[in-house]
Amino acid sequence: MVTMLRRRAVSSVIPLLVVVLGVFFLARLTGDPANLYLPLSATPEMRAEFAARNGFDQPLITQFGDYLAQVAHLDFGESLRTAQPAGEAVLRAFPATLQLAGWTMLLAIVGAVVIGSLAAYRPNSVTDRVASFLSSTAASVPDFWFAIMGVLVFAVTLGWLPTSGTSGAAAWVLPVATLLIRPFGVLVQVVRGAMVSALSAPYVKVARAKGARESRVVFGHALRNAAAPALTVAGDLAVGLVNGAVVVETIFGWPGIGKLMIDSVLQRDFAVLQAAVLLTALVIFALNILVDVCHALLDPRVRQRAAA
Amino acid sequence: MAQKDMSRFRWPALLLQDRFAFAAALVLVAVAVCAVLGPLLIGDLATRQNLRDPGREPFSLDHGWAFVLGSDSLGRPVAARLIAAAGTTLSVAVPAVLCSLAVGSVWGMWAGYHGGWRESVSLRVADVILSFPSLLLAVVVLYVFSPSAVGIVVVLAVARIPVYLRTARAESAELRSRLFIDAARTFGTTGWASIRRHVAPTVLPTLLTVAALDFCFVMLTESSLSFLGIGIQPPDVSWGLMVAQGRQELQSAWWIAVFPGLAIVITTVSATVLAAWARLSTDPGQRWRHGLRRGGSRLRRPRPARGDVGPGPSPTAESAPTGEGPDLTETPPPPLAVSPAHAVSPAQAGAPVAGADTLAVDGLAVDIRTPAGPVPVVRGVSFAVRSGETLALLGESGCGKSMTAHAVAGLLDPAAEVVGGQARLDGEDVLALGPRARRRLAGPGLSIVFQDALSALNPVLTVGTQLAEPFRIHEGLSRRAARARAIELMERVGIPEASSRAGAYPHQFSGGMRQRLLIAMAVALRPKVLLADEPTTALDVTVQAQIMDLLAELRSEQRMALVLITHDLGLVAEHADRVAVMYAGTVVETGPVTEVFGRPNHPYTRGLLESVPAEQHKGSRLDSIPGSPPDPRSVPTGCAFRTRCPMAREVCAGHRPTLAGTGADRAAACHFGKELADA
Amino acid sequence: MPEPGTLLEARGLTKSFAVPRTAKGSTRLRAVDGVDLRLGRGETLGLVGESGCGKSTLARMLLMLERPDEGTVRFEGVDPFTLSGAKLLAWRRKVQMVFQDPFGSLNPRLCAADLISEPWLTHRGLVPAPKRAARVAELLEMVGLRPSDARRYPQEFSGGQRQRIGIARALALEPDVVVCDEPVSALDLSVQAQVLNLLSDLRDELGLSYVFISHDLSVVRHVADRVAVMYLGRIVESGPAEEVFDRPHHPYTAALLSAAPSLAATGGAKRERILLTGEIPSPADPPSGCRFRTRCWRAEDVCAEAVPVPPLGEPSHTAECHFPLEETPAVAGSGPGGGSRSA
Repeated sequence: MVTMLRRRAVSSVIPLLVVVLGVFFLARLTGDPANLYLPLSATPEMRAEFAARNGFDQPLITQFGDYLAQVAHLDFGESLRTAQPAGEAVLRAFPATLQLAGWTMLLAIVGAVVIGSLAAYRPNSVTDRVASFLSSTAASVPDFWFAIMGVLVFAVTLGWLPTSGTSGAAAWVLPVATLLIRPFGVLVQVVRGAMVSALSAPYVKVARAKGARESRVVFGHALRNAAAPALTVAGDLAVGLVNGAVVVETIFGWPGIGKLMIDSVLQRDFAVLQAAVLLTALVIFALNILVDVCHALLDPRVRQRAAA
Repeated sequence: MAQKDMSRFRWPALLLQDRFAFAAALVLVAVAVCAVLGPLLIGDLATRQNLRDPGREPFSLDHGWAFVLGSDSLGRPVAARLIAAAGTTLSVAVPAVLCSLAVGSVWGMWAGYHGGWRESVSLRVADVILSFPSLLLAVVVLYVFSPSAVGIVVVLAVARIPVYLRTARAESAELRSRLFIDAARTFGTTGWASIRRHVAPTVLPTLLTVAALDFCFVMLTESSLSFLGIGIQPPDVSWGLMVAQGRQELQSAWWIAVFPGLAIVITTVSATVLAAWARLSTDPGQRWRHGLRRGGSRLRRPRPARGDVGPGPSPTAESAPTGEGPDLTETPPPPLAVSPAHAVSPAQAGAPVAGADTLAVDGLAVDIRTPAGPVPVVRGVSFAVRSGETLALLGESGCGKSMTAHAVAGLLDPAAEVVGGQARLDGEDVLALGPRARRRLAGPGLSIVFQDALSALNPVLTVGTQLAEPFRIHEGLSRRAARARAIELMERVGIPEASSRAGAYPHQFSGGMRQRLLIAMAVALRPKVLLADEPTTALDVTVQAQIMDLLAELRSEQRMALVLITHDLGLVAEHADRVAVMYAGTVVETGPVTEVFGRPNHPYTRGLLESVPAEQHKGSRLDSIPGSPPDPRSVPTGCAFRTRCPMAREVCAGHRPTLAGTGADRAAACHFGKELADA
Repeated sequence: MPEPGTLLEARGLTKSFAVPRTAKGSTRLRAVDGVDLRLGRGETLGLVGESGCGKSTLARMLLMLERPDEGTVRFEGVDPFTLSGAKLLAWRRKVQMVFQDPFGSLNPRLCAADLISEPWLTHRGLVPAPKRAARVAELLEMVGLRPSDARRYPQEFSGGQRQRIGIARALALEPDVVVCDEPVSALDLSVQAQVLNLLSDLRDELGLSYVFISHDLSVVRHVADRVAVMYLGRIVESGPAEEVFDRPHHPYTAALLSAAPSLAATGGAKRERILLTGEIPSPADPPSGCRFRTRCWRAEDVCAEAVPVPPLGEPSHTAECHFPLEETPAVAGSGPGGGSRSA
């Protein structure tokens, strides 16, 4: 297991570098920040001074080298907007997003396992067809529209829920529901498919031949075998939550990392954007490793392969 | 027959059958028509501001059809804007999907076909692209190139390439190990030629399904981007942009945001439904499953009729087919004439005292439900076995021997159904029992050993846990006590270091050891009857000998009745006391092994025995049975074997022979059984 | 049979695959380890062994589907691994293969005519396009199918018919050698006999040479002129078929013959059998010295120390064993169909 973790961590380094490199150069291409942060009447001297102060006059390669050296010392530079350390700004925004995503994934996984298993137990039954249709619809609803409809119905018309903010449980309902809908729809379908094939496996017949109850057959024998494909997809969906977070946090004014990233792109706040992307990428790689660990815990064959 | 051709030309018909998929296809066609003809229809209605008519309410035709869904604050009709936006959406989504489909699938097939470093590098690249949230990537890139439709297409195409790459890679890597690719290599066909001829046509249907789902994703991302203000820019219209605009006026004019959202939902749901349908209809296994649903209600109808002629003797059923032509082969065979069990059942023939049989199967019939109607796969099977005895159920693949065992054990697939007959375990018909009573019997009464031990053992549970299960279920033992019994059992079946290996998983054992574990699990509760379904077919001969010896020991030790299901005549000769030879879903001959093999009373048995190479002179031609076993869907009328039989006469086509006594303890289902016996 | 001219020859073939590190720390699985083989013109060489003994890997090397780590393959004196381009294609024509699985070896999306004519798409000059349909019909008839079957798809045929298509495809390039990898083991007994008859008819008609791989001793005994028995990547015994089956020298061959269930012994009359203990060791960690020693009842200390070497001078019947069974009557008669005795 330790070997596997070490190998995974090492193999994540290169992709991580590629991500940093990509964001660094792309961000530099989005236009001169001097246009945004200096008055229109700024003289060329002022511009040169601004560039020199922020290191923009160096060749790109040098800038990147300096940046890497700083990052190695956990120094992410300063925000152009607020002059705060970029690392701090990102870390402040991060917990809000993490909580939102955590609740969402928890609800999505629990709900999908229950509904997916029910649907798979009798393929093509009414339950199965209703679950299939609702889940495929859920997976196709645009989240921004779902959020706006939620606001229209529950905040504007009924007045039950607030339209923004993070205080109180009520404020969590719409953001979590919006973020939840797509992963939930996809997961139900994946769990169903995996359970259908697990339930038709010979070892399920053997369990029945031993006289095991149906509950034991479904939850004791089939579910753990069906978990692997569901887990892989859940990992991908968790990565996709960052997409959703950008939209949801923008609509509901959620002070998370998605909103921070959009704002820093719009305002060419390189340091913050880079720090945010780096952190996101780190979290995503950590998440992938976590998924692998879960695979290994669930399936002894993966464990053996990992140990080799 | 000819299913392949049919399915190729019938897909529009198939589409019509599925109302959901048909509706979805209609929606997509409508969207496409709007996109193409929209500009002609609406002219500049969508963009022309009309400040005299701001914020009209929807559902009124007073101002012309364009205003049926209301108008926005600039007086532009929502309906016209929806139509114009359909064009924008498709002009982004379709090129993006096509680009990533083309690049990703060619790349993936190349990587998957060749494997090695090409495969790992490609997968790494895909990982990097996918590890970056695509929406964020799009946001950053669109800021570089300034938001435009072309920019969105390029970004989304690049971001989605890995999806196709991964799918195409996985599928072609699986194909790479297939023999027909190897075969092509032996002709000297390699690289792109092989990909074009073999890989691409096989992988393409899956990729198109992925593309349909991806179409939804691209559409949603485009509208999200437009909603965030970095996608399609005004004055162009897009559904996402319309929602963003409507959000500002949510309280005063709800309709501006609602309708474009609905348009997105309906379009994406349609694409998803159509993709799901396409996946079902290109996967033969799934199609079969799918067909069950509609077949289900229709198929139950013949059941009562069949039940009438089922178990009991039925004199009329015998003569019924007479006079009907051989064209009957097209339709499912006529209702069975189940052998009048009381007269000729081997149970009776073998043991005059009724009740001496531990298991007596009588007239068992099993149908498989298919979209084309029920297919009888077991057509009146009767046999009996006493405790301490080994009965071999001998037959070639597809003769229904496994299905018989599964039916008796109550483990049929949902598609298969027992439609007649009895299976009496110590006089009690297990087929008539409810689920709870059957569960009580599963283990101590009837037990089964499967052919492939690797798939029959649960891969994620330790063997100790699995072996302890019978004790926990039936004897209510504690975890610890059950485990102790499991270890005892492992020792009994000859697994070395049992106590330490109880914590190991199935994949850590060799094939022979796994089969021992499976046998241990089956005999844990000393069953009265053990059904062994090809228990050694997956094993090497030297290991097979060990396993057969173990089964024989356990049988005499526990006084079990052993039903050995196999296709191997040598195995039957060496290990069975009695044999029931099966052909086309029914028992054609039964009796003690020495007698049946020494002097077969059915031409099929005789043909089988003559086909064994070892029994003939080296290099000489083997005597063989012409033709091949019939498909269960088109079993010949009368005697099922007559089309391959050297002795077939007219009577064989008209009358189905029943199992009739041909000597002491022997029976054969042949019109000339007696003659063969006396010859 | 007179000593035929050598057509296909292999010397010291070795192939290993990378595997996850095993308990004993090795990371290479030696599937085939120093195999010598010779196939004469018009001869049928039977290759016998249990699963994992390397017989399929050996066949794949003979067909250049795998490149050997060491050793050479020579066909009429030419090493195909040194060829390229047109010469390689010409060589490909000479050696063809019939696969075990008639379901997996035929692409389900192609009809019989496409399948059989597929080789001609690569070997364009062999059969000119206008003549292909006629040639396909001819081949179909040759393997006992109807020319009208040309437009049907593999899934419409039974297993035996599919194997016939596989044979027709192998014959499309007019090869000299056909390597048959378990050609009948997926078939039912009644159909197996038909295919075996077809193979021997084709040999007589077309003068083919076969390398016939099977785990079924009775099948090999029926078709082969010479037999090579493989165990854990090595050929442990080889010689004329009749001799090897009637008077096995290697204990493994004797055990294999004895373990195969035979029709001759029915019911209670049990044969006296050599029952091997244990299973085949992993090819990743083969035993030292003689590979069979861990399961051999005749093993002594020397077997663990030295690899047995067959006697020099290439006698026709050789065995890699320190203590070969000489004409011991105890096992001589226990072949399938041979005399069986009550215990």
